[in-house]
Amino acid sequence: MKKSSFLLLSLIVIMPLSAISVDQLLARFTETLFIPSVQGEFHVTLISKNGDEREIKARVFQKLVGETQNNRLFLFDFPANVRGMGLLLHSYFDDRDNNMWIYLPAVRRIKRIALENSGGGYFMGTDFTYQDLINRDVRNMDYEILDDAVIDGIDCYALKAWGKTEKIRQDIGYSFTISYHRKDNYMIYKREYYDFNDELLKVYLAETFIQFGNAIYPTTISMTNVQSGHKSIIEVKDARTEDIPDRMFTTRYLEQQ
Amino acid sequence: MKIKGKLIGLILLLTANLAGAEEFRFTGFYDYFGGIEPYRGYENLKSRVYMRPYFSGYDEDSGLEWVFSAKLWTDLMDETARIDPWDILDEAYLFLPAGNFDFYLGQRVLTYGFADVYGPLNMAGSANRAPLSLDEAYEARRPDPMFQVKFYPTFNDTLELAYVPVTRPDRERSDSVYLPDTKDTVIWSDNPYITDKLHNLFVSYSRYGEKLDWQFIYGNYVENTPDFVVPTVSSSTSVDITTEYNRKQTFGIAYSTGLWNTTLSQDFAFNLTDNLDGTELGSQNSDVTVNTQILANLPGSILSQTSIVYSYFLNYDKVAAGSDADATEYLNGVFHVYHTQPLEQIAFVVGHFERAFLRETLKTQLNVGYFFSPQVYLAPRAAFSISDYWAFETGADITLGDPPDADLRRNPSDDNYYVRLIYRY
Repeated sequence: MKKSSFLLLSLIVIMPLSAISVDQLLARFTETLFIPSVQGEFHVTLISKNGDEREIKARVFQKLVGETQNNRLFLFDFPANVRGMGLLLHSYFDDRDNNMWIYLPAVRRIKRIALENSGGGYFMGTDFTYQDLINRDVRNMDYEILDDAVIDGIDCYALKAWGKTEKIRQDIGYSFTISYHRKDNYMIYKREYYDFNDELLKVYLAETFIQFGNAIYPTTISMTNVQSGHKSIIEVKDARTEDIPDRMFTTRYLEQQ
Repeated sequence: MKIKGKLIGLILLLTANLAGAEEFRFTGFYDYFGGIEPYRGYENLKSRVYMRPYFSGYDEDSGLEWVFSAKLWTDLMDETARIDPWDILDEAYLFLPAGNFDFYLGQRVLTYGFADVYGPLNMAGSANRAPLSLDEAYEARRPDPMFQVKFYPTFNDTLELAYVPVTRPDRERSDSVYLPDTKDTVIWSDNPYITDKLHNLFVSYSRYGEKLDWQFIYGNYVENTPDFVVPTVSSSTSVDITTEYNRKQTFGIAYSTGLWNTTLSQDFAFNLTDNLDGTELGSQNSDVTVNTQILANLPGSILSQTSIVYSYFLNYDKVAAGSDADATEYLNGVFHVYHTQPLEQIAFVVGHFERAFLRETLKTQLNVGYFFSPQVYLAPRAAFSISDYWAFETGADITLGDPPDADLRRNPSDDNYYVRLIYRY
């Protein structure tokens, strides 16, 4: 009996067990996301394996509507072949399907598209998929707290997440992800995306952020596809949290811009 | 190339600043089309230098915006081939948002319906009816002078009224066409505007909702595609057949919705022509047309869009035989083919397949038109972004089988390929 108690105590001391539950971590992380309105200018740098760089610039607006809806608007300014193009995204935290409309200035047409129908799922040629950009319904996911980790000198909680069903996993596009939440503010510092062979596919890193009250907004984000060697860096300039009128998240505004 | 692109950009920006515009855009290219029709051998078809400057400005006090753009091109291989002066002014309009209203005044392209290709509700404005590439955007639909008001009772709903005082004829082949069976000659109108029939009205209601997008559309307008006036129908008497432009009404409904992982759009149009009973030789028949469009992702990250178009022509084949039945039958057939009404019912499928490589630096497309006949249209496309400003495009337009022997066919249907170096600022 004494021997087994000693063994248990040894395990507790040796294993860096996390002191937080899944629910606690998700709840605190959700609090960091709660920014009613935020807008800024996205400067996206696409870096290919051989070092070639391309740039995309867009104005981005985001607003929470009630507790179940998140509206996003992307207005592209650069390069010239996408200038004037706009994307309006209504995503939902409940069971409703997400909606996306694209405005194509060359033909003056607003076109409804499914998230899956856009660029093979990748957002404007970046390493972010449209699915990476939308909110995920936690009820569709399973979670497991992993051992705490120290990433780049930052103490983090580690959370593994995967879709509850095969279809959900296929829709999301990954077998599972491991997110490293900073212990000091619960923001995701790093996230690893694993493909359906359980091989590491992509690595997300949020290097800088700004704080709005309890909420946190990452301002330098990178996504590296470790399999292709391609990397995308998003820098958010001039991030602001003043209220954005609801009329901006409409097809009317999309067309006017 | 990067430095050269930036230098050109700087010059253009300076030009724009001199003009007082707040925004300046520019598209310019050089391209070359070669004919590769097997029965004719290799031909130089055309080689354009094209420019499209675009200026826009905004008055902060009044909220008034203005847009001015122009098109210019010349064919380096044919010094007589250059842009028609009436086509130089492209979109140019004033825009004023005021509360729940938007007002537009000027020259602007109007689009209706959700279908991207062969949209039966996309009725406003004239187009080039004899392009070498069916999907070429640079000489596509031309804007008309118009006044447009949009009223937004809610964030999701739009009521729109557009008044176009005068429209233009479609651009046809400029040379006259000899019809051998009746020895008649079709003479195209060279008037830049259709001035004998004025006033075009388009009314629509649109709703962009959570589950469905809707449009209800009504148009009362002068059709840009001509009907034909035949003075005498006879195989033995040669006459000049002239064109006339008649009024048409279109009643339409369109919707678009997500369906599993696809997007389904359908445009329904009932087109009512002046030729109500179908007895007038050379006039278009009324029709019901449905365009069903499915946007889906195929395995391998291939984006596909399939359009299925079905038309039923009312009172088809009701033209009276007259004194010369053979001549009537021949001319009726010629005009029906020209009006894309070769049969009482037609259906065709257009497939568009798109795959991007190198994170959208290289975009490839294949367009396939299947007309339920030996005629299959293939149009492969590739576009490579050399830099943020320069791109190289290439493609081909290939119709399997021999070109149709219709005497009044609109499209040359001759196989060709093109290369294009394009600069965008």
